Amino acid sequence: MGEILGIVGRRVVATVATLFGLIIVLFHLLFLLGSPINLMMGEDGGTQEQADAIRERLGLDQPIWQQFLTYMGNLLTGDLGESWRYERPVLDMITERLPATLTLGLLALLLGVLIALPLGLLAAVKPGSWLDNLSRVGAVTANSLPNFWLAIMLIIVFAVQLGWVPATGRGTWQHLVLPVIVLATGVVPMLMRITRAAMLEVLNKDYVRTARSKGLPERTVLRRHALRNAMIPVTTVIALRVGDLVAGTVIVEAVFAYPGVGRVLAEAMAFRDYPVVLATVTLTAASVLLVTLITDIIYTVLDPRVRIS
Amino acid sequence: MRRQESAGVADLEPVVPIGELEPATGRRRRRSLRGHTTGIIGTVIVVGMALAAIVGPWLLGIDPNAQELSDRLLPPWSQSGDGSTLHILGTDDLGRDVLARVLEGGRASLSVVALGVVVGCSLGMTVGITSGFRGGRLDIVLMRVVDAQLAIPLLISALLVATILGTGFMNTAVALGIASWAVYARLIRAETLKLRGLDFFEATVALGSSDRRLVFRHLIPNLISTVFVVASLEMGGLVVTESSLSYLGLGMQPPDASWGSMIRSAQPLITTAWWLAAIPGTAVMLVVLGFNLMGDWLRDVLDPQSKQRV
Repeated sequence: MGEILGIVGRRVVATVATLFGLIIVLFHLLFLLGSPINLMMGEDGGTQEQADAIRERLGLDQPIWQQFLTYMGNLLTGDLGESWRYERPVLDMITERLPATLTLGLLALLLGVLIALPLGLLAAVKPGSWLDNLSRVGAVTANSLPNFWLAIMLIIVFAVQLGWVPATGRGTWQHLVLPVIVLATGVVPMLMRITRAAMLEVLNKDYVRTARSKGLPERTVLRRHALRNAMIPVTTVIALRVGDLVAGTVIVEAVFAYPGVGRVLAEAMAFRDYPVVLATVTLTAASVLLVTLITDIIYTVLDPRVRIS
Repeated sequence: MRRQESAGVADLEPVVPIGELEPATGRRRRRSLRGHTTGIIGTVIVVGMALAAIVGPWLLGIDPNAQELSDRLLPPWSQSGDGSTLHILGTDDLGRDVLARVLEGGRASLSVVALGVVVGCSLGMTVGITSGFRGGRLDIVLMRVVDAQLAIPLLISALLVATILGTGFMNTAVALGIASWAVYARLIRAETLKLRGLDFFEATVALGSSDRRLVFRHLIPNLISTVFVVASLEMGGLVVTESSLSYLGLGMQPPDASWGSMIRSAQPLITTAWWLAAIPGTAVMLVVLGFNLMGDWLRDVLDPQSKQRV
């Protein structure tokens, strides 16, 4: 047990260190290299005094290390700074949009898993069958669909032509249908191929042969012996897709004018609203690192082999 | 004596299972053929689109930025008002020919992605070789950096770099390169470590080769095929990323055509002129499909080991 705690502890420290390093680099990249003042002043540039006034108000007249220390100090008390554009706390901007994005992301993940797992399983049980081939072609095609293209095509067909669902906005469950489908399409191909490959590998294992030769019904063999073991790589892939899902929400929220964190991120980038950019990018990286960390920890606890290697 | 020796050598010859010697028949052959078919289809798509982007505008002879307000929003395959030109893919809200713009946009999108791959490759190779070759503390630090970079999704790091550097052709290429270097770095490091352990490499070290010679004569030539495979697999993702950037307004800027910005400006017109968004989008999809098929094929051909890795 102590050994496990040691490993878990090391992973946690490494993750926190990575995140901390990331914040340092991002902060300096944005606040040293970027020059938002010119952009904020507009085309004609304004006077030097005006620029200085803005700098002073935003605290940009201080040396960079001091700005950074102030930022980190505030961060530790849960203060992510204030948006330059809206002059509101960044934390509020994120928390009020987060539920919308989480709904979207989790529903998409759920739908993706519900489609990918059965298809991958069936393809693995009968490799070379028409279903296997069809799902392979489908996966390659779906993998090549840029999500904003798919989003626009779905809007053209289902919102504009057929009028079944609203094209943009948020409020009813109908608003969620198209965005969730688009995001799920990004999850399915990889997940399905991994499920298939993992199942194929497990089905060749001795314990599956043993289970079969005991005379267990095929259903039981598949469900109790094969599927459970095949789930290990599949969970890893789900964890790895979290980052893509976040990136996907940025695009999907833009196309569907859906008010989520992705919109906040894209708008902040377009308007060089650096405190918001810094917070949302860090949040993205943190969620990816956190999911990876959790998966790692679960393995360490559950699978003794991971501890040895 | 001699006889015995040769007999001894014969004993050492590997025993080949008979099954392996039989010609590949049935499913195995069909599978390898099928792999080639899709790979060739992908290559044809990529080469075709690249050629179209290079010579297409010249063949078509229509200025992609020429506006003709009397010919606004013509659907595909319609004649211009004065009957002089056929707009094969219609016109946009300023009466510009959509086909000409898609070709022009393809030229911009494909060249910026190609440049982005070169940037990403060089960065990733430098880091990967340094990390794998030097090892030690530097390796640990560099791999932490790679981890941190990989925690930020491709699109978001590209957006971030584009935010800092600004929009336009060169900045977009650099943004794409910086967003994608980490994948190369990690794989190249692993490959470098593998090569370092091989006999030929140790022999070269023992012979007293300089580091410079080791890297440029012995490492890099052996890494080329890996780089090629990764690059071709990355291309599709970069095309999507580039068009997403310009779709969000942070890539290449109008009035220059690029697939993403065409879709961006077409979106408000989606109810009246579906083709304005659908056509550049289809172009993106085709190119990405082509790159993905080609990448999978190249991976199977150049790096057969990775086949097992799905």
